[in-house]
Amino acid sequence: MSKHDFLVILRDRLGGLPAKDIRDSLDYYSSTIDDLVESGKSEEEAVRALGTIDEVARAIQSDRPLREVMKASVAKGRWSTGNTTLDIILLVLGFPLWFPLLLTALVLVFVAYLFVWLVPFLTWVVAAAGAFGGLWSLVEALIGGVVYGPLQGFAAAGVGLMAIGLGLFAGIGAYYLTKYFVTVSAKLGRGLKGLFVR
Amino acid sequence: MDTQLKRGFVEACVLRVLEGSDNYGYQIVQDLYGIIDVNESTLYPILRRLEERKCLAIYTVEHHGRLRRYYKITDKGRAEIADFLKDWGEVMVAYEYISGGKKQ
Repeated sequence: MSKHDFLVILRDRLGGLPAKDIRDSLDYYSSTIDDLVESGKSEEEAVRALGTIDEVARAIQSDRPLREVMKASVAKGRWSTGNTTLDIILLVLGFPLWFPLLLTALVLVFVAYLFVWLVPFLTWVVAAAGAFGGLWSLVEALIGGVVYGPLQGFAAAGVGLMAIGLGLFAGIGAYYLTKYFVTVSAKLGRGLKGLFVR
Repeated sequence: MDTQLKRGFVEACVLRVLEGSDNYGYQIVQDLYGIIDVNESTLYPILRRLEERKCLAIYTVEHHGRLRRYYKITDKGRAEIADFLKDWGEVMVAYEYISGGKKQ
């Protein structure tokens, strides 16, 4: 690929970044290709030494905020005809089609998060139920012991201790599950960002 | 090497090159050859970040009928090298201990 082609494709790829950023990076790569050529490489070799356009674009975008990268990705033409008026007309005409699709996608993401968090949530519920139920059972054991006799009292105390034990186990499980699911949702979030950054 | 960690090292290496003399992208990569793995493409975002943090300044010089951008270290850049050396001096003490080089 020639230097000219490389710069044209790169400019196209960076589309939505602020104009100053695009100019700045094109200046850098143009000047670097010249330096590589001066060091004895052919133009083709110089361009190849920089890596693929994808790698170069990713390097440039790597420290840009997600907002700008998304703009670049939209303007790059993945979701655009290149004609603003036509884009708006299509956007309006396509509303009955894309709006339900977008809504579905959002609901799906929401459900995915909900589903992921249901497991640790339920475990916490079991833990809380065990702890409170157990404590209540111990209180009942005292009252029951006085009213109905020691046998009922002991039975209720035993049930209470068992429930507390169960609650403790569930609590430990819930703690680790929560920690694990925090990383899982972080991965989900990164996956969503990956749709735009690639 | 961890990406964040490596980024910090490349930044410090680039500042060190510029501490020697003002320099341009291609030559910085050449100077760092065999020291740390960086090429012309991965160098660009590093230079940008350093510029945004005001660790270096850019000026252009005419060279063979075209403009070449030179990077020049600033006082802030020099201060970052000092910080880097101080931080890693502390890390190296722990490193020596972990690797068994120095018995505590």
